[in-house]
Amino acid sequence: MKLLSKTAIYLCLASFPIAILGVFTLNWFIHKSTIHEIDELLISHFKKVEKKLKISQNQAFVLGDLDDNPHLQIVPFSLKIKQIFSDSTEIDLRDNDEVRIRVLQATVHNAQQNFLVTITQSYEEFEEISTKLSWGLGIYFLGFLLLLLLINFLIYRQLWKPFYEIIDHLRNYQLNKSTPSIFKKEATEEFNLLSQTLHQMTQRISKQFILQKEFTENASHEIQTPIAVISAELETLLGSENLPEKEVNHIQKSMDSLQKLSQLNKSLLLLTKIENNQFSEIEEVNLSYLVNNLLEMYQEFAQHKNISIHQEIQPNQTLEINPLLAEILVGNLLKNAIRYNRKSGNLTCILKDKQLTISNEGDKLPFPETQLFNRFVKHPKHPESTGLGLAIVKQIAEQYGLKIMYQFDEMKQVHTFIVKWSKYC
Amino acid sequence: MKILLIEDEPSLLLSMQHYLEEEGYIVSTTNTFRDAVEKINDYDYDCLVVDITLPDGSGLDIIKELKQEKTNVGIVIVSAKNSLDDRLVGLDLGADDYLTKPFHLSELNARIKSVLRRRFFEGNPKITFQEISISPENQEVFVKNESVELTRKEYELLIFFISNKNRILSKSAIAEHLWGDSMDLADSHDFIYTHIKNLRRKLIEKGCPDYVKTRYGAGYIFSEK
Repeated sequence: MKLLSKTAIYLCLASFPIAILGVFTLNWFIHKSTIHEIDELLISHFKKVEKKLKISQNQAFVLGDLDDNPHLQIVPFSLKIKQIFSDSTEIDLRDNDEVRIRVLQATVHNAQQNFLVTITQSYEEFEEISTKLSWGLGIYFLGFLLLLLLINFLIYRQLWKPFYEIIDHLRNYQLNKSTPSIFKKEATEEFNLLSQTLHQMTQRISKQFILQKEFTENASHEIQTPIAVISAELETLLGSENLPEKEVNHIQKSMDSLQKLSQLNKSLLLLTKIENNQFSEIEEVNLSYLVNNLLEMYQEFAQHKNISIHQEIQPNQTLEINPLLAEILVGNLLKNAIRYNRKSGNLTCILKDKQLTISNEGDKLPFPETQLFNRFVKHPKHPESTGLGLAIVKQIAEQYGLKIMYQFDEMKQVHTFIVKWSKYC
Repeated sequence: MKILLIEDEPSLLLSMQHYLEEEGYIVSTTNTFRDAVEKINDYDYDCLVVDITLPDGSGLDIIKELKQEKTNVGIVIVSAKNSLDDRLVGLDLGADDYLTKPFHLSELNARIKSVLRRRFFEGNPKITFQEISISPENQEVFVKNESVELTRKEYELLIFFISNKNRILSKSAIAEHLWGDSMDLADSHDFIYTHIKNLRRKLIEKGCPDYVKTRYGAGYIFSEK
């Protein structure tokens, strides 16, 4: 849900009770004021009647109006009431409705008589006005709120445009692409702050990234150069005349180990580079084409072990990935399936419906399945391997959010690797 | 043929120099960027072997400068950096080949020969060894003017052998030359042996003497002796 809709909902939720409460409070307040004013009116009325009664000594001077107001009643002297206000109702002849009235009763006496004076005043009209006014204000309040929300909705897109632009920039930001500052100055202060902060942050990360990249490459250089020296020296030594067989064997073994060391160094660097996301150039790679090519390339190795390859490759299966990493990913899995296959075994390679399945025959793993993708886990029968091939595969898969699974069929003694890249798997 | 080696690691420089001198090249060496630029300005070379990372500059700059002046010089980049960027930049600038450290001296030798062949024998770049003659343009091999059918790997193997004739070639050097990055799959020795055996058989069938000799199981020598 958008921020705007959320705000609108909360505002509405809060303003309805406020409006209702407001209506009643206002109504109550006007009611109180009305009563107060009516009471004052009644008192003033009463004072006039009292005055007349006292002067005239005769009630005939105080004439009631059509409503019989004030109503005078002679009561014994013993009754003494000092101004009692009460609410009552009477029938309005106009529409036979009950209307509310305010009543003031008090006793007034002169020399001859004691009167109970009752003065009434209808205030129904004021109440009606009060109710209409309160509800009117409440509805106006809500209407005003709706209008504000509508205006907000209308200017929302324009107002938040810089925000969405910044998000868009961020989404397209690629670390290793030396993109210049993409966060421009914004007119809105908050967005400007966001933009500038992001700018500083990306600059910092980019600097860090370059430093790390340099370190990785320098490390490679520093290690590969001595290896190159040793390799060249050994090769020169091997070329010298009249070397006895024993020495030749020693040299050969050193060269083999050196080769392994170099391979190990390269693989570790590759892992680091993938971790550092230094292969972030992504394009749509035609995996069908790639798998076919690699299968053809490895064909002779398979033939040498008399392995039969069964392939089912749907054309034009694509994946958004770095092309070099795609080749390493598929290559490592295929190489594994050949290297660890039985002599005259079967290799199956199926690529269809966003899924690559590669399986080979072989004995059960000599180590727990969970360790399969760990670094430096080697099959005891293949000590010459670096133990990094599947770790690299896993690293690449993680980088691109691919799901990688391993299954072993005990009955058929078949190892299967599955790579899935459907977004909904 | 004159070759200039530009490499800042002295012992590697020395090894390369010896190996190439034994091949009959006139080899000059230098280990700094400045000295290299001076030498290139003062003398003519047929081929340059350039290390990208030099203490006082980048080998890529040397190539840039060189390509602006003279064009008919072969360039092989030697770099410890296995980064694709450098490789592409180097080849874009006009280098002929790119070799990642560590490399086998025999591989360097074969690459230099191939570069020189392409640059200096444009019309008729024939490779000959005794009665064997190869025309790299259409990848045909003849023994005493009779065509020999070789597979792609056997053909590459033969060229590698002839480029490094009379030298001992280790199995790993052969494997790396033939299969590059997938050489780890070729680790079983009899795999390489199968290819060598087939090449040998095909050459002998056409009347060649057996030029391929093994040396204590450590490697092979291609030699007329």
